[in-house]
Amino acid sequence: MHYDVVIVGAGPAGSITAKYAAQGGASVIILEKRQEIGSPVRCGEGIAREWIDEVGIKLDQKWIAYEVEGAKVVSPNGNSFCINERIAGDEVGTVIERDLFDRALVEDAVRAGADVMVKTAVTGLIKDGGVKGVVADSPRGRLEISAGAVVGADGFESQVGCWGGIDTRLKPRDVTTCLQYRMTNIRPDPDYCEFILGSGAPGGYVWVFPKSEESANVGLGMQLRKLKKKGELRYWLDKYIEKDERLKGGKVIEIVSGAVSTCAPIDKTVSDGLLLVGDAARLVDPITGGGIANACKAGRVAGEVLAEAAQAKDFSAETLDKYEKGWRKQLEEALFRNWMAKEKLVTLSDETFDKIIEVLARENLDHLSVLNILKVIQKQLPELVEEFMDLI
Amino acid sequence: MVQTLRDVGKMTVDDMMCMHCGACVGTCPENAIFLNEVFITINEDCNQCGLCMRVCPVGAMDYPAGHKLSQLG
Repeated sequence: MHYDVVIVGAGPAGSITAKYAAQGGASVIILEKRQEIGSPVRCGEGIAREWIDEVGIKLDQKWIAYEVEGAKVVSPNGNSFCINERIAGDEVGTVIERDLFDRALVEDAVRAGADVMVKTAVTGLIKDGGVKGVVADSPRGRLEISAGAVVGADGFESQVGCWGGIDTRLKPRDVTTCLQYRMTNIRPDPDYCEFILGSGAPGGYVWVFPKSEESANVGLGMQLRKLKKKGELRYWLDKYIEKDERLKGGKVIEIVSGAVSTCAPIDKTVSDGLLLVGDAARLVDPITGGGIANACKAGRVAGEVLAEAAQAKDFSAETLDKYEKGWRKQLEEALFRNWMAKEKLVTLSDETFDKIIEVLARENLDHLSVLNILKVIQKQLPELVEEFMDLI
Repeated sequence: MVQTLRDVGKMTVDDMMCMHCGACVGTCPENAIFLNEVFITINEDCNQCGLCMRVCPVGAMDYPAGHKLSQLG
């Protein structure tokens, strides 16, 4: 079996890459180790609408669970400030059914001409100089698929990069591990996706993303460095739920676990015959932990570059470097700045969070970004400026 | 209670608790853990650093019983 492009993983990054590569004339196959695309869900499910168009996804009520006005950021003392969707950035506005979303994206890729195989786990790469294909276990037995290029779209747990000589390993400070309950019989704020900061979730935050007026994804992420005991995350999440009156009497109808990278951009994401996209390329926003928007944006660039490479029959690192330059131009500066900001945020006390949120609640920001927040801090909280100066 | 602890070489995984989420796989500094979606294996590159135990969101990983760092029992 031979394809121009073999994509490992049928998440948003893999499917968008597949779609644009196939649209541009490359022969493409997506390999998914799960028996069911998109399930079980590993996601908080909050996304924005504003970037959807730019990656060619059509909004579809099938995968929209609930729509909110924006985000509410809550400080340890209970104060909060709200941001409407237009200015909130990439991770609020719409709460989706992630399994249906992933399936819709893979269907788009198939419509563009991509092949797909499920329950097919890639177990290694075929190498001869560069990467020349994959070895996979499937219900039909062991497969060897040769390829012009292999795309690692295998998520946080990516191994394709390491197998192909691209170092994607993470330090404990750059891993955020998460546990989420889908709860029902509760009263979440129906208008906002909530982000709750402070020592209730050391080095991370608690989120409450409504999926209806009486149900929500209630989750907590913490920096790995702050975790010592086995199973400690459940303790922190249960402790939060116990003290939030709105969640009393709530029933857990789904448990979701997983981890995200919260690192600075990695040094390289391409080599001969190999390219990484999405969480596998460590493109997750280090502040929010959201990965879908960046995965789709980079996936589009990757697909277009792979289509050109297939036309030229040249999948060398030099050709694929156009992808690397493309995603860096779009995303690198914000990723790096947000990583620096995260490094600072994980050190702040509850009192400092209270002060910052109080100031932000008074300001009417016309555009929300880490840079804008820092500028407000510079103006309003001069005593904190020294701590943040290197970020501005 | 059904015994669901499985010794996977240098570490132990509780197959009943495991959510197959891959948090340990992406965290392992030796890239020694493989997850075929429902079944974790650990290869000989494991150096027993214990990060998989700490990162596991549900507490399914541990050192084997008897190991000085084991939190089993």
